[in-house]
Amino acid sequence: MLHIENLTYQYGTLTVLKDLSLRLSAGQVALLFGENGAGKSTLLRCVAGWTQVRTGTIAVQGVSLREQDRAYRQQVALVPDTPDFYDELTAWEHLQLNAQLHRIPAWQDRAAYLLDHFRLTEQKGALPFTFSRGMRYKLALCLALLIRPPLLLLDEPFAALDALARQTLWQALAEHAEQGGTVLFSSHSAPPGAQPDVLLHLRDGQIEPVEASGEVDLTALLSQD
Amino acid sequence: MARMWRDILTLAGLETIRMKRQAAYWLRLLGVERADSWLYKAYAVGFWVFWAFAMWAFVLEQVELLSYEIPARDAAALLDAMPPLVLVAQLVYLGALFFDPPLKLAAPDLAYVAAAPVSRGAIALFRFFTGMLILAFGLALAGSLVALLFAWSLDAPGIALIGVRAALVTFGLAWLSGAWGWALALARQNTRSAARHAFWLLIPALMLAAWRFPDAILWPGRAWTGAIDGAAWGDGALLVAALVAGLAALIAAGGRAHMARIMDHSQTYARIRKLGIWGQLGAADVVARLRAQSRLARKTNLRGRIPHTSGVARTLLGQSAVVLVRLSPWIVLRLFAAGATVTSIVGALIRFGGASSVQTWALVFIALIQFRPRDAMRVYQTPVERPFLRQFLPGNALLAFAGQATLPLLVMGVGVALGAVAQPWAHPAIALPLALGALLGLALCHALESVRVRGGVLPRIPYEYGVIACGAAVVVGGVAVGSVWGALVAVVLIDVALAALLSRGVPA
Repeated sequence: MLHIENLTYQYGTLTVLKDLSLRLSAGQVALLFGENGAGKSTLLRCVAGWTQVRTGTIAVQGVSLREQDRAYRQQVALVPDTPDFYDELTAWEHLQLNAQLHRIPAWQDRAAYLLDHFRLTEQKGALPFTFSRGMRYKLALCLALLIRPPLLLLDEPFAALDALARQTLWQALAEHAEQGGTVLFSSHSAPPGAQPDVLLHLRDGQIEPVEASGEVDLTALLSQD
Repeated sequence: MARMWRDILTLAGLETIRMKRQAAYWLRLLGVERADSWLYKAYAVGFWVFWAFAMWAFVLEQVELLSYEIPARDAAALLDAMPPLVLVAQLVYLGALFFDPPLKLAAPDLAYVAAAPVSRGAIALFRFFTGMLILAFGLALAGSLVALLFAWSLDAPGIALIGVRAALVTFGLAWLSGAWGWALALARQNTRSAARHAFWLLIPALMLAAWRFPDAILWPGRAWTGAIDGAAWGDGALLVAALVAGLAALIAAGGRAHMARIMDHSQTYARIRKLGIWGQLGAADVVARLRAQSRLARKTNLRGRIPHTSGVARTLLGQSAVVLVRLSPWIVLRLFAAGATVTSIVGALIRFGGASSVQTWALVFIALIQFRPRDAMRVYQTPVERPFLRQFLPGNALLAFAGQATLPLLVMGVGVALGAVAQPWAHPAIALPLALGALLGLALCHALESVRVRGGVLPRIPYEYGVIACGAAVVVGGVAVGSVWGALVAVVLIDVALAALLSRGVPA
């Protein structure tokens, strides 16, 4: 599904990602963790195509970002830690716009289900700039999940959410993976009961896979450094 | 009352600290630091005072020259019309205060003053004084200049005294109009929503009263014309009495102000004030977004709907229509006016500068670079600045451009077309397609800034470079063929080329 080969990314003279390689299969949920400033958000933005990559290759389902840019972008959706919306459109209109642009048939049922799932139904006629940070993140998740991208990238998805929404999101991610999608999310903590298929430790610009078994304790994993 | 004066003194103390800080900032801009010697400070103050007098003398000279162009008979007729015009200005100001209540607090005041047990009347009075000071001073200068224009034109005796009298009367009238305007706007803000609308009736009522009882309503304007005709001490006394009554009304209305409502109303103002003076000028788009959000948040019924359709282009067209309808009631007028204005400016430059002059084309390029069709490209630009939204748009940037920019460009195109047809030196059959083609070219140059051409053949092209390159090609095309038709063909070819580049673009 996701295939990254020798990815290097620099901010000026600071090398954030160094010759990084990674493979994820379809149906996997991967948790990316690391210390502040390790480059988690940068990696997600590179994979989403939001940041121009000069060294290395990234491909999803065999479609290369560099060679087939447009086809690649149709495979990926990234929800950043602070998503922004159209000021003039309501939450429901954002879903409508997204669904119609992606030609999703009978999108209304799926959109209503997602809003209900994330407890946003009452706010569907409201403008997102009036939402709290957590509600904005939930709406962004609804928008991304609505189009069911083969690769779903999430930056710090649990940071802004309440305990109930964390469980809901985890279920949604598991559901997405069951349907053949791949999820790569960065986080400093995993919700109780969450068991990602893969744990990826980003350190010194490179990925180190970590054995995942039982309850995930990222504090313990980080302190092993 | 004693408590209110104590509160006023406290607020004055706070304001003095703030004004000292602001004065230090402006003095630094003028080259005076706090640590400088007194000798240098005196020199700097003397220099700037001399500069101000020199500027004032220059402006006075221009006004005097202008006055010779106005026949005395016309000036007398205009002077007769001034009292109703002053009333119209006062009513427009009152309407503006009704539309946007004036009592707003900056972030520090929201945090400390609003929460403290300070008299609300004192807060209202104090904010009124600080808000009106510069405005009244500026109006006094403008009022003095207009009075001098009339005086020179009418050859009135005692020019210097007329200038001073008019400045004083205008200064007083500004405070008077401000005090009553604030008082009424605050009274309206304190009233329940149903009765609040009734305040708007004041405006036609005052107009009607001015028609029936001109002496009672038009006296402020007559006091101003009295400054030219000769001093009228009775008007001055009336002005002071009305001002005192207005301030009393302002304190009374301010004392009943609903602080929670004022704090709520102040949020956008406080966020904008945080940007600082230069920040507000430099981040005009941020200020515009904050204001638009504030306006949208107040709406209980959002107009327009995105049509239910399976077509991508129709969805984007529907989205841009909905955004335009909800953006601002003035957006259509702004788009139209921008199109007409820039076409008229470019037309005038070519007409008076001559089409064969290099300077003319340099000025035209500068005008076109300054005229970036931002409003027309706003719907297209929003996701460019917000990658989370952009990832959901069609991969073909030309399709996104066609869907999101066509509608606003059409409105702007109507203005451009009118501006082009109004040019007396060019035949509409050539001016119209040339101007519309140029508008499309400018919009495409703006859109191209947001993409890299696929495969890295070309990097991101800044708008300015795009306009200069395309403009040069159009001029060369015109010169090579020796006719405007050559320029028109060049514009069409450039538009096609820009559209082709955009269609091959990927997000930059």
